[in-house]
Amino acid sequence: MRNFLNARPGLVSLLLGAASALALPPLHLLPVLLLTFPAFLSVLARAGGARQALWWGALFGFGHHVAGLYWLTHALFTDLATWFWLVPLAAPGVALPLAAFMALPAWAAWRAGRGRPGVGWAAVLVFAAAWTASEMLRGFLFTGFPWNLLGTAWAFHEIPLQPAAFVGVHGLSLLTALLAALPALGWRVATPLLLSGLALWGSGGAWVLRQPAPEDSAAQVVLVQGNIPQDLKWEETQRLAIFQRYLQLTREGTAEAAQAAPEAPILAIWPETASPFLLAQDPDAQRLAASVLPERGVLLAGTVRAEWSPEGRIARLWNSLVSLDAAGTMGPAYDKSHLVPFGEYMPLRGLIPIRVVTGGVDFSAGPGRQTLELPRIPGFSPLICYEVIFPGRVTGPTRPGWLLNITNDAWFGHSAGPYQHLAASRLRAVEEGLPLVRAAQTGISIVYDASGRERARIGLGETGFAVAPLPGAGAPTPFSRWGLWVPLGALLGVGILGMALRRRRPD
Amino acid sequence: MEPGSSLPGGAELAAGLADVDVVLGAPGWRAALPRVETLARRAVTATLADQGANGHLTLLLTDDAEIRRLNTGFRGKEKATNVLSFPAPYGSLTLGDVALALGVVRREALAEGRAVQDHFLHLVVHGTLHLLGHDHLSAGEAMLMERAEARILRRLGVGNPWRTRWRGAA
Repeated sequence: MRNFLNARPGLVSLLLGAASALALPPLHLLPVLLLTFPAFLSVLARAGGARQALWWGALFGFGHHVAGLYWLTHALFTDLATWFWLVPLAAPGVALPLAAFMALPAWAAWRAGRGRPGVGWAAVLVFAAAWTASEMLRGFLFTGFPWNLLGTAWAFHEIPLQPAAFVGVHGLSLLTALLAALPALGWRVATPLLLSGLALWGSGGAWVLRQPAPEDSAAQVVLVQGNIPQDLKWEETQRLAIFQRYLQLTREGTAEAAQAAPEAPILAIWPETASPFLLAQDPDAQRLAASVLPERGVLLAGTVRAEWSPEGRIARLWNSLVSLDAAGTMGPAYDKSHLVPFGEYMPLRGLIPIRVVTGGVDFSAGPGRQTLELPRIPGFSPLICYEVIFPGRVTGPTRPGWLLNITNDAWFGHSAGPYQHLAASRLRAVEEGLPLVRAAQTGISIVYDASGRERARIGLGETGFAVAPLPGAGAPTPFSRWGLWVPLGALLGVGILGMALRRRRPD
Repeated sequence: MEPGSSLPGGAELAAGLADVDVVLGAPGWRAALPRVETLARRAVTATLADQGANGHLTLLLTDDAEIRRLNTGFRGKEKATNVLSFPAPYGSLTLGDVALALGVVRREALAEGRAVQDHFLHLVVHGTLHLLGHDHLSAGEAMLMERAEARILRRLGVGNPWRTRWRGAA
C-alpha cells in the first residue's frame, strides 16, 4: 500500500478524491473519509514543492467532483440526439473549475507540514481550515456553485445537523474534515479524540432536539408532485393533460386538508414550472386552477412568466412563483433571481459557440431575496430550484416564517442529484431555524420543521400529494443572525491554531 | 408529382371526401398503414365537417430526419416532432400543409399502447385543426382544441386519445 501511495501520487490523489465522494448523499458513507483524508495528507506530506501539492490537490478535487456530479449527465439524456457528444464531457467539464478550488487546501496542508517528517497537527488543522475556505469560495466565484459540500454528508438524520444552527453547513464541513484527518496522526492519538468528538456531537444534537419545538402554524400545506417526465414536460400537445393532472391532485389534496383541519388556511404548492400554461397571464388557466381550490385555499405555483414585444414576440421570460386564491385573483409573485448559467441563460453570450438554453430565449433575473406575505399565512421566502443551495443567502431583509423551495429535478432522473439537492435544503432549515417546504416536480417533495425533522415526504418518481401542517418558526439562530461570518471565524481560528503549532519545533 | 403520390381519385371525391394531396416522402408508410391516403382523407373530411370549413390541404408523410429539418428551419426547435402544421397565409387557395414523421408516430403509438392507425388519425385531425386556426398555447384554446379532437375522433370511430398515459408514473 505504502509503495503504491509513493509510486503514483497523482493517480492516488484522483482516486482518493473520487472515493471521498461516497460520503456525500445519497450514500452517506462517512467512514470512508477516515481512510481517504489521512491517506491524502500523507501523499501531500511527500510533495516535492508547492507546484506538486497544488497539482495533486486539483487531481483530488477533480476525482471528487466528477464522482459527486456524475448525475449532471442525466440532463443530456432528455435529448440525446443533440447532446450525445457532451456525455463524456459534461460532469468533467463542471468538475474542472471546481477541482481548482481543492488545490488550496492541498497546498496549505503541504506548506504547514513542510520540513517535518510525516503528518503533524499543523497540517491537519490547516488542511481542515483551508478545505472549508475553499468550499466557501466556491459559493461565490463563477456565479457560485456550493454543491457537494462536505457538511451535507450528515443530512441522513437531523441529530448530526444541529450544530449547523450555529456554524452552518461550512462549519459542519470544518468539523468533518478535522475529524476525518485525525487518523493521519496515528490511531492512538486519533481514536480517543474521534470517539469523544462524535459522542459530544451526537449527544449535543440529541439534547437540542429534545427541547420543546415551536408550535405548528394553523395553515395546512398540500404538496403536489405531478411527476411529469422531462421529455414530456414541454410537449405542446400534452399541456392540457399535464395541467389536468396537477388540477386533479390539487383537488384531492386540498379536500383532504380541508377535512383534516376545518377553518385552517390551505396552501397548495406546485413545483417549479409545473403549470404548462403561462399561469400569470392566462385567465382560463387561472379560472381552472381556482376552481379546484377550497374557499380558504391559496395556490402557490411555479410557472413561466412572459412579456411580449409590440410585434407579439416573446421579449422576456421569468421562472416564477405566482399565487392565486380561490376567487381566481392573482396575489404576490416572485421571479427567480439566481439563474443557472448555461441552463437558463448563456453567460459570455457570443463568445461560446454552443447554445444550451432550451427555447431560444434567455430567462431574465428577478430582483432577489424577499419575504412574500399572504393573508392568514406566515410570510415566506421563496427559493426556486438551486437558490436553496446557497448557505446564508436564502432570506431577504426581513426574517420570514418559513422557507419555500420549488424545483424540477426531473432533468436528473433517479440519480444522486435530487438527493443532494434535498440534503442542501435540509441544511437550510436547520441553519435558519425555519421550516422548509419543498415541492419537486418528480420528487423529492418534503416538509422539514425548523430543526430539520422530516414531517412529510413524497418519494422520487412518485405521483401524488402530501398534506401536513405548516411547522412553526424557531427562534433566530446564531447562523441566521451572523451568517457566513460564523464559519469564517471558526475556520480562521482553526487555521491560526494550526499555524501556531507549526512554529513549535518538534523535540 | 413525386413518386408514390396520388391525386384524389374520382371515386373518393364522389364519396364526399376532402381534397387532400398526400405526398409519400418516406418509405415505410404504406407498409405501416396500407390505406394511408384514404385514412388521411377521412380524418381531414371529418375535421372540416366538424369545424364547418372546407378547402384543400397537402399532407406530407415523411421520416424523422426530414421533420427534424423542418422543425429546426421553421421553428428553431432541433428535434423530431410528431406533427407540424404550416397554415397558408390568409386568402390563399389552400388551407396549408401538414407534415407527419413515421418514426415518431410509431414510437408514440407504442408508448401510449394505441394502434398506429388511431394515433395517425389523431395527429392528422390535430394538424388540420391547427390549419383552421386552433392552438394550445393557453388553457382555454387547448381545451377547445381537445374537445374538438375528441368529438371528431369519436365520429371516426377512434377512442378518446386524451385519456393520457404516463411513462414512469404509477
